[in-house]
Amino acid sequence: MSGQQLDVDVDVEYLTRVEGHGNIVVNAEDGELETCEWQVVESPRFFESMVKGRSWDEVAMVTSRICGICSISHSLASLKATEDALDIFVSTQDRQLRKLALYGEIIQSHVLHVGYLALPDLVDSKSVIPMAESHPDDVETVVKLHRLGNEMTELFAGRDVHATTFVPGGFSQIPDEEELESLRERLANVDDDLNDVVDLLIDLAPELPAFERETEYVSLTDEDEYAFYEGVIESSDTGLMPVEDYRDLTNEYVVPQSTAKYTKHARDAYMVGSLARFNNNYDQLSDRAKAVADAFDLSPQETNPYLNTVAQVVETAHLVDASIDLLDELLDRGLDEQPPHHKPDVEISGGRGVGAVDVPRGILFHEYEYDENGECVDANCVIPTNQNHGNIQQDMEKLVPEVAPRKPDADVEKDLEMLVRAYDPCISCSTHYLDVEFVNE
Amino acid sequence: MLGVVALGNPLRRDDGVGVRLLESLRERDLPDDVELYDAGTGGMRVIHKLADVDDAILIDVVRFGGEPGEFVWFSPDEVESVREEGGSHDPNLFEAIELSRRLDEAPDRILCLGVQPEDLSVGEGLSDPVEAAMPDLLDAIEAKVEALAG
Repeated sequence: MSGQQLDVDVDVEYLTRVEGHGNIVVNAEDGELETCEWQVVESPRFFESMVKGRSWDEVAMVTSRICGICSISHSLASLKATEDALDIFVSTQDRQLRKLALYGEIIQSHVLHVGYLALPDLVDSKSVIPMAESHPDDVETVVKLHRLGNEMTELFAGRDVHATTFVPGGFSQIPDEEELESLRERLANVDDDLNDVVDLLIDLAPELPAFERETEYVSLTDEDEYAFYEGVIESSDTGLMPVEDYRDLTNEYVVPQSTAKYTKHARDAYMVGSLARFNNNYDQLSDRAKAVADAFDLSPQETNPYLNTVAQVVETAHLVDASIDLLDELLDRGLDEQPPHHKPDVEISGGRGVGAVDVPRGILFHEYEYDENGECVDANCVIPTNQNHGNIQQDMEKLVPEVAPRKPDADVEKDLEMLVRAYDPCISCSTHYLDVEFVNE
Repeated sequence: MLGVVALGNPLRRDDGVGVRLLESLRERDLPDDVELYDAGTGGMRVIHKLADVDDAILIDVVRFGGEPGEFVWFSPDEVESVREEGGSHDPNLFEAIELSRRLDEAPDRILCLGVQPEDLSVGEGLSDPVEAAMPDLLDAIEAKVEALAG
């Protein structure tokens, strides 16, 4: 117990249940906060070297491998940047089909975060595994919703990870109307599962720490819809800005405790992701999503970052509705069919372009420059998680002096861990290997 | 149905060995009821594939203390511990298997093939020792596929 004076020692190395590696180091003695750091141990990305020298029609395929969770998101930001650079036309139908692939990925990612990574905190479980015994029906529902998101992505992207059908200008292959109708039926029957997740989280929501810190909220925004794929940048502090000016938003800088770059705009830090989108674009949520928000008493401008997890549930409800609407539009109009192995007719010239997509963890930017042969000569990528690091740091600096005097170190540690997990950070998204010891060694 | 599932990222040198193996397996004459699945780096999505198949072979890069290119067949039950360091993603592969079992969705037989890497830096192409092990790896997988699905 820390007593009333600030006196705390927390050192979480390799925070579990976040995508990648981050360390939390907090130390205060005799009332003085000596260290309070969110340290991000990120492998160097060498993004530029991955795509430089590549042809315009293979860059999206390469960038899809940056992240195993958000591979559709990276593919789409990449395609948009290439299409912007080379002035490549994308039809309304193809944009709608891309949105459906993206919505599938966001549903699966949100459900993964809420169900497998955040819920265990709320039921005081080390992971989702024991929850299969303690909350079997809930875990089954989470797996079912996660599967739906995965299969949705698979239908449009050709696979549930690393799209095979995405090409600059559209798709090499599209689903048929029967498949769209079948997906529509599944989405229309998801009400009970969604309600179960909402009910469970409502029961557990009181476990989310009460903590407020107002910040700058940044997302895409669009006149016609709750923006994920279309739109321009919106800052809750400064208003709208064009996507091509994204560097004026991100202002990347280096901090001593992290190998990842941090960003800042109107203040010392800004937040991206579900809560930022919710705050900026609330009015465009579906009625059901608004009802879910009401059930949690969540309304804009919400300033508790822990409620990012709740905003993800709100968005999941919205995404189901938005997907049904898109499918209805496509089916009512009738699909313009195209042959398998379709390749859009593209004339290549050089150019520079930016693509922005608001993906599970927030706004994602890709920028490329191509020479006159369509070879990539320059590239940049700013991922959502890096845009949130500064905000996590600022939250920690406000949170620790508030909670440390009245909570034992273990509880402070849990609050800090839950804070970081609420941002659903994806820190080192480009590798997968296992380091294993066997029983009989 | 037998699922042959590869995890890993070809942009991280030897981490891409599973994807390379799948590409080569596609050229081979495998039994009809074998599905080859590239799971990328995602851990938890593997549970959906496990639910779809009767048996599974999971291929991943594993640091088990062998020489680069050396490989080992093992059951998930033989794993004593998995270090988080270096792994990148959501609940790891063995948690996905465990959850799949608890939900009663897991296949009866799950075999893992671990390949000891030499180089996991950013870049394409396998290291020399892992590249040199490719023919033996393919033969070993094919024999296991025949035994399980044939």
